[in-house]
Amino acid sequence: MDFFNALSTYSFLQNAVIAALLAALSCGISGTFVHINRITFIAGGIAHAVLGGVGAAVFFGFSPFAGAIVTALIFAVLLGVIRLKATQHEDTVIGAMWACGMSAGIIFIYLTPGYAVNLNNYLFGNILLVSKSDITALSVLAALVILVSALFFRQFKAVSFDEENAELHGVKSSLVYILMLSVIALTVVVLMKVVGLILVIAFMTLPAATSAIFQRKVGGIILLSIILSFVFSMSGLFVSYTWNLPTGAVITLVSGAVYAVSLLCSKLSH
Amino acid sequence: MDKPEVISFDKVSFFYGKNEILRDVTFSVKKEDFFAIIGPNGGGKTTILRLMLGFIKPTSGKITVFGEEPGRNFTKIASVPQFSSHDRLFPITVEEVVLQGLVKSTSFLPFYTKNEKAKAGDAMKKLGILDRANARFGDLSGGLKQRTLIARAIVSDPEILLLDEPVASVDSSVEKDIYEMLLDMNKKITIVMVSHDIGFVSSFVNKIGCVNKIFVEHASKDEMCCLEEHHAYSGKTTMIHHKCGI
Repeated sequence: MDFFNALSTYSFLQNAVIAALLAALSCGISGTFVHINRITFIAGGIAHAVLGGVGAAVFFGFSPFAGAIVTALIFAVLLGVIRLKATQHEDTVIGAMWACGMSAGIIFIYLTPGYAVNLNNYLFGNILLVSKSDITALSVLAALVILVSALFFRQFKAVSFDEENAELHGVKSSLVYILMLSVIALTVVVLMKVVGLILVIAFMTLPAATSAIFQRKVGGIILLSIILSFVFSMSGLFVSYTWNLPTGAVITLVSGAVYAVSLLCSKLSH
Repeated sequence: MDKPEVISFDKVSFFYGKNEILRDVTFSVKKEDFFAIIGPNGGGKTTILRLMLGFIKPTSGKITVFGEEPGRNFTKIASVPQFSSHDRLFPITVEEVVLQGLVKSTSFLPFYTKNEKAKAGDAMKKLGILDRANARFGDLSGGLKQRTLIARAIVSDPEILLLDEPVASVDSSVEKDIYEMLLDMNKKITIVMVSHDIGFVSSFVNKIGCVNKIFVEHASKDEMCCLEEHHAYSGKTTMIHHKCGI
């Protein structure tokens, strides 16, 4: 059965499309803020450290999804404080948290008795295993990302461009910055389901970086990123369904290829 | 008639860690002054601006802005930072930079209102950059970036404008244009600017202070050249003296 016939037949594929759409909405927004603030490393740190929370949740018998949300938010606040307060070696501290969070997760999962947890599902995601209840949870997270970013859109932009100017106008820059990282953290959790923690960084950087080549405003980059992320995910789904390849990796390579071509075209046209 | 005092420094000292940056600095800025603070790099000029803005607190002494502690006068005081501190690749247009002069902690609209856009339009018109409204900020020349940042500062109708080295990286014809524009604004707005270079400044301002840890105020421009006799700069006079051979 070809992809489009399968899409109208199988509910797991329909769920995958909805999940891809929710991921596109969240990462179009968050990825743009990651891009303009140049904080790929912080986003990557949150994404990898989340495995610690997932592992702990599995070990203590909670929902891994809830564990991911809580850990992502904790790391967003921690990394935000480090970024704002640290005078030196901020990257070392972030790198350490990145690696230690991940290691804690691996150990917790290893120690969990009986029930064999498939680590791969968290590391590489599996958009084809997204259930109806997952969709509900992802919708709530995506809605939060959109709502908070819409309400604080100006403050996010102002703090990203010129923290001191924002501060001078009464904006609490540190709080706004941490709120922005929290939005990014929630997006990490959404993306965990779709592409997995290891590939979160691809979704957080490539669509926004590609859009930034063609758009000169933050709002424009967000809109184009949303569209690109969705198109990348769909083409990834199509390729992986048709040739039976791992979805997250295919989506990432499609995004990377489009980014490289766009970059090349813009360099050649200048 | 004496104009009201808008900023006052009373025996202000500031230490950055163990380094003494400012010692017993006392001066006041009156309404509609055009006040220039001159001094060598590392002499404490920018520290004075940051103290006025409330970003840092004095180690000792008292600072007031409109009779209050600095940092509480969001709408009355505006600042023009050095443009080189901004990310050149940041995706933002000239108009949007200017609109950021209107950001507030409690504006929850993702889009700018017509009224706000009209204000930004006026500010850009005043600075002669209206035709560049949709240009990317990072692509502009130094002089145009400076004008954009001045437009951002005045869009909220401030009563005091602080400028950090407004002509640091523009050529001298642009420098003169910018000073003339500031002089025109000075009819309504009090201006405080810092510079490491005297250049044209002296012919535009009505008050000059020199800072290099300690602060000396000069009532008139002519007095500037007598700096060496002040011995205020104990050994560091050469630069100031040299530059003021106007």
